[in-house]
Amino acid sequence: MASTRNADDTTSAALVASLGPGQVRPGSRGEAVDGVQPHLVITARTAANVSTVVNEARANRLAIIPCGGGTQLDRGNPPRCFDIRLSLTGLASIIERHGEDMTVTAEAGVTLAQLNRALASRDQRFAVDAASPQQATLGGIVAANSGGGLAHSFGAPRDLVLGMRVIDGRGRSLVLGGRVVKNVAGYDLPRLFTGSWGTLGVITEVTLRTHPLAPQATTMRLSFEDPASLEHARVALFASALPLAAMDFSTGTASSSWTLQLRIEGTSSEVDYQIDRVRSLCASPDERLENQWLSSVHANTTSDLVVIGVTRPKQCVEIAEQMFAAARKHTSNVSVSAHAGLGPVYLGCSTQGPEQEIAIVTDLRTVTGACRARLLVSRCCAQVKPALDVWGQRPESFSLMANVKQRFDPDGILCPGRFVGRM
Amino acid sequence: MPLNPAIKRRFRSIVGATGILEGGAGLKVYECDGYTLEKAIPEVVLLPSTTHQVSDLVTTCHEEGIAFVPRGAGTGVSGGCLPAGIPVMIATSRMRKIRAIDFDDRTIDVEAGVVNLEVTRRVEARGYYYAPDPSSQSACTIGGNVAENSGGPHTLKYGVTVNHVLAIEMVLPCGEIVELDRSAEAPGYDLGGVCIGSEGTLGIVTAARLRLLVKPQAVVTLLAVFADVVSASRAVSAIIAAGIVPAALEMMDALVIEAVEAAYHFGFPANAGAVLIIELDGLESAIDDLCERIGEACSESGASKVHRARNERERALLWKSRKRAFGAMGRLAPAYCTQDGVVPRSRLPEIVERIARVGERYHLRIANLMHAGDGNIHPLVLYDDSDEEEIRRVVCAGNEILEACVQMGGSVTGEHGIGVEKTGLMEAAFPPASIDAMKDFRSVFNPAGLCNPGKIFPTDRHCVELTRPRPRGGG
Repeated sequence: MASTRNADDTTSAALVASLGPGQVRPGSRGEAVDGVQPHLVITARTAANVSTVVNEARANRLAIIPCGGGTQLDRGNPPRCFDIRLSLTGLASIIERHGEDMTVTAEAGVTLAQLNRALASRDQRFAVDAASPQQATLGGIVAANSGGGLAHSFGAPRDLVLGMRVIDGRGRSLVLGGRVVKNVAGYDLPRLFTGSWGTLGVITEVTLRTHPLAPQATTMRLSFEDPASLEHARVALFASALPLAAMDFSTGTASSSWTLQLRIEGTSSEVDYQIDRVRSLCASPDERLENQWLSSVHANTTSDLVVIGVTRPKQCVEIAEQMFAAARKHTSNVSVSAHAGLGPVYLGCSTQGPEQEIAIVTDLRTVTGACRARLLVSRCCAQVKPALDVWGQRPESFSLMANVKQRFDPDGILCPGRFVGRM
Repeated sequence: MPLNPAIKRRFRSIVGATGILEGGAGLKVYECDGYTLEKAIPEVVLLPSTTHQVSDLVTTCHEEGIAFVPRGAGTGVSGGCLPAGIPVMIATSRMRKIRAIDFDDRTIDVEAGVVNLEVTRRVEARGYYYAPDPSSQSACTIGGNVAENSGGPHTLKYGVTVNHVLAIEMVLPCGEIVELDRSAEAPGYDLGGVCIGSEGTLGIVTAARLRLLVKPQAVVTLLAVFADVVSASRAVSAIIAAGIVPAALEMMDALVIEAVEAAYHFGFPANAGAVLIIELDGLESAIDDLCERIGEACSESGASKVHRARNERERALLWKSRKRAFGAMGRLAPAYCTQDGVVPRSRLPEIVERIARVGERYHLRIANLMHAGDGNIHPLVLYDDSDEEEIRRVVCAGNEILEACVQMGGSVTGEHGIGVEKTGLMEAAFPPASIDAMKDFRSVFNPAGLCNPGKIFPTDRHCVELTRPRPRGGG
């Protein structure tokens, strides 16, 4: 992959000339990613602006990191270089709501909260829960394929994206997928860009599948004394015909128990029935939180170190227990949570700096490795990242991925160094 | 150019004498899938029974520069496994092992040749099932389902194949075996997600890990009768607008009703202009309420009758009538051609009128079968296959309908795929840059183009043979 060079005054002037002075400014320390400060911060207002920036970057070998609400910029290896922080938050229009079709088309910079406010007027929603819905943008959510607990029943963002517009690393404006819920024309390239973390193209617009808002909803929290009784309940619920909207669990050094948190939705009779059935299947103390849902996974956003154990549902309680125990040996402030029906386990902890973080990650990788699970580092201090690939060992299909990257971003201008295998 | 005998010997050494078919009548069945307007006989059909055999066969083709085409059960309907100009066919139908069932994870690992319905049969005693249910589910295989990203009537609530596949094992066109993991938080690009539905152009799927669902507590099937297709379409919109997501929402028009009634004697009203088959599932305690709300939505849209299937037998007969509707169409005309298009669901009344106008203009009878809840239409164009001029009109009418779908914001295919049938419509569906991007993706997996050439992308193909289409299903 080609190396990039830094933006100089000429490029900066060229960009100001094409975009307008209000859209280009020097980067600041607060806008650094993994300690690397961008030379320029550009706010795109149109897809054409994005295209201009990408083409300018290609011509001058500049490195771009596209950015929405910036809630997930911690994810990834450190950028090899960082010339332009390309903000998409200026692309903030909801283009078309097709209420009867249960689809919506919106620009990438629309926030999750903004979209869901608009959809609520038609009793609909984009069924994704993000940690910071006021900041998280649709482009960011799709680029990261990051949902929350609701993925248990509605699928991950990749299952809800019907189509998109992208400017790829070659500067091509791509119209991908469509706006109908069923479509098998050609390759389903929206799936390639969903979860590609901005490394193949800049998403400017998405068409999403929406769902009806549930007439009633409640969150139920059940407490278990130990992981074994939690596992017992998890197995019973997972094998039941209850249409639970979400099923997360968590524990932490600040908690004396293991908590299962369920999102229950439906008509009032469906909700009542599910609550009764959960009580009889789980037989443990519970409480109800009316009409609020915050995935356990999103509850802790202040940890110094956050890691993800990638595993299967049947292993998640066991791995969560082992990860928790291993991290506690290093630090007194640990929390662990998981999507019990999907598998991944999230651990957050406070640390005393880089050495300790490396030691914790190393121990956790031993634990997860023994269970044939993978450990990703979601957040850590920037100094730690050069020492470990945050995505873990390369996947089996890495050479195909590298080849895909080469086709869609041959000059390596999009988030260079940040993705799997430091591509 | 015929295959070199040394290469055939190499193939035989990999799959044994019983794993290779060449010459003679035995190959006739492999000349096409459900898309019968074009046919071609491969020089050899190879029947591997393991992934390693597939890998060795593909490696041989790769080393020798020989084109090959993967095939499942041949139930596709767009010519995705047509061996036109392709000497070697690799059929995965003998790879029928179920490798693992894991109820704790709600997954099943199956080889490509396992029949769709077999998956549910293997797990139903424990209360589980596999959701995607194409009409051909008693014959089609998981390998083919993955290649085509198959749908079926129940996709409305539960999604298509790609939503139910957690990993695929695939032999790349160079012979290498890879596993593409799609589990939550698996790092890297979702290559598996793109390979699903790639119609055998990126490699040969040899196994898949499928998601199992727990059978719902209660299932109810309703039949709603309407005077015409437009009012039935309005009911579809009303149901969706009421915030109800039925498990299935299917429509049949008068012509289809006539054919299935003659074949299966369900007792559809003789004067019905259209019927909706609506399936609801969920909790027992809630199902009656849902039925009532659906009943109201249908009545308000002009339904003359809403009937609830009284028992499992009646329910099964209703679904048999729907799923075998394609087979029944032979009663109405010597031949028919199934189209597969999608419109946003709110445009259903419009596309239905458009189809009627196209039928009038081309002097063709067109029956309508639809996964109405998804906006996925299957116009069945009836014709006389001994009339060459009429065949040409059938093709023109089909293209016109699909172009109308695109103009309405829809797609040229909802579940049948592009195959060879619709390569000419790709340019109507996508701008050139998007097609180039797809080709870029293909070149990563299939750089030499030996794996299933001539599919999906517009080429200079010419028709191999035009013959009588046999009744063909889909959806």
